Amino acid sequence: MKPVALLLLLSLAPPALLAQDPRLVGRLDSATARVVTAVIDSSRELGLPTEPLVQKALEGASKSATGDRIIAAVRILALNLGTARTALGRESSEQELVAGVAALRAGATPGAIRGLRQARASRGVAVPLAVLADLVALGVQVDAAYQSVLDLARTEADDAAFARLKQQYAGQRQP
Amino acid sequence: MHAADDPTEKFAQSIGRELRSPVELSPDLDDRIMKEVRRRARRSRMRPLFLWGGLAAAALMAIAVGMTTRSARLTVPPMERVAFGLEAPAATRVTLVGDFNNWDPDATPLVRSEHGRWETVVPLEPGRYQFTFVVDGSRWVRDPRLPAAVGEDFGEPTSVITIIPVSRL
Repeated sequence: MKPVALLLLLSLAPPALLAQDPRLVGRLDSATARVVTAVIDSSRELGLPTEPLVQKALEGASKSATGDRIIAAVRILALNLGTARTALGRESSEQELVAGVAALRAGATPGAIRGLRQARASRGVAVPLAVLADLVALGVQVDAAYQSVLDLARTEADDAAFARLKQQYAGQRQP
Repeated sequence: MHAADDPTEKFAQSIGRELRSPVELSPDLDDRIMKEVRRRARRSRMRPLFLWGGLAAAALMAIAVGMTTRSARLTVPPMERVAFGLEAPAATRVTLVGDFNNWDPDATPLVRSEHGRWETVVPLEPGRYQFTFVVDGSRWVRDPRLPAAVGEDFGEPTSVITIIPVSRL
């Protein structure tokens, strides 16, 4: 974004847009809230979704994490969202980016995420990516989980098919 | 003292002469007065015009904002009613915290049902959410039926739930 356009945007933006999220007030100490707000503002300027960042900070506050740990978690999540957006494309929805972060954290590479997007170009990838992350959480090796999801994506399967794939693995896992 | 020498009397006579002298009015006085009357009348008629114009503009803006809000509301995905539950017979209080309630331990208390099961239903938009249960205000317990969050940031057990619209199932 050009500096003039950014300046214009900031001058037109309502004060609330630039202010600290009210949900952070009272939940974080002032120093932590200031840094978290800066990360959120930077992410917003980059076009990344900010709600996951707010929720990550609130999760840390709720779990009595230290300010440093909360800041680190929010920064890492912002970076993960940026990586997911690069892999999935600028038009990706917030749900897709959140699921993309889950897949990255499960061990999928950005290239694998991009491959899933290409295999399912005509449909969203939020559910396939979430299922990929869930399969890894259920104990499936990331490569095997990715291949299962990718194979299904190539068949133009709908979201229900991915949900059934997860249920199959979950059923195998239960005694 | 003679009246003609009295200063007060002289002042009164001068005022009398001034008042008795004929007043010469400008011949175009009537025209100027009527022009001013008509000008003021036009201004007073235009004030309501501006007022109604402003009100109309405000109404149009309100309608436009309303339509924007309405169209935004129409694009919001449908909410799904999601049931959460935990077996905790010994617990005296169980609450739910997660990405959907700002991780507020007081926002979503569960209700105790039969056999020590605690339950609640939360309307959620389709998406992926992290959550956990807080038992008796201090113990964090994740849902054993659902996948654990990968890469847990804060060291407490957390579950993940993916909500797929019923229409897609």
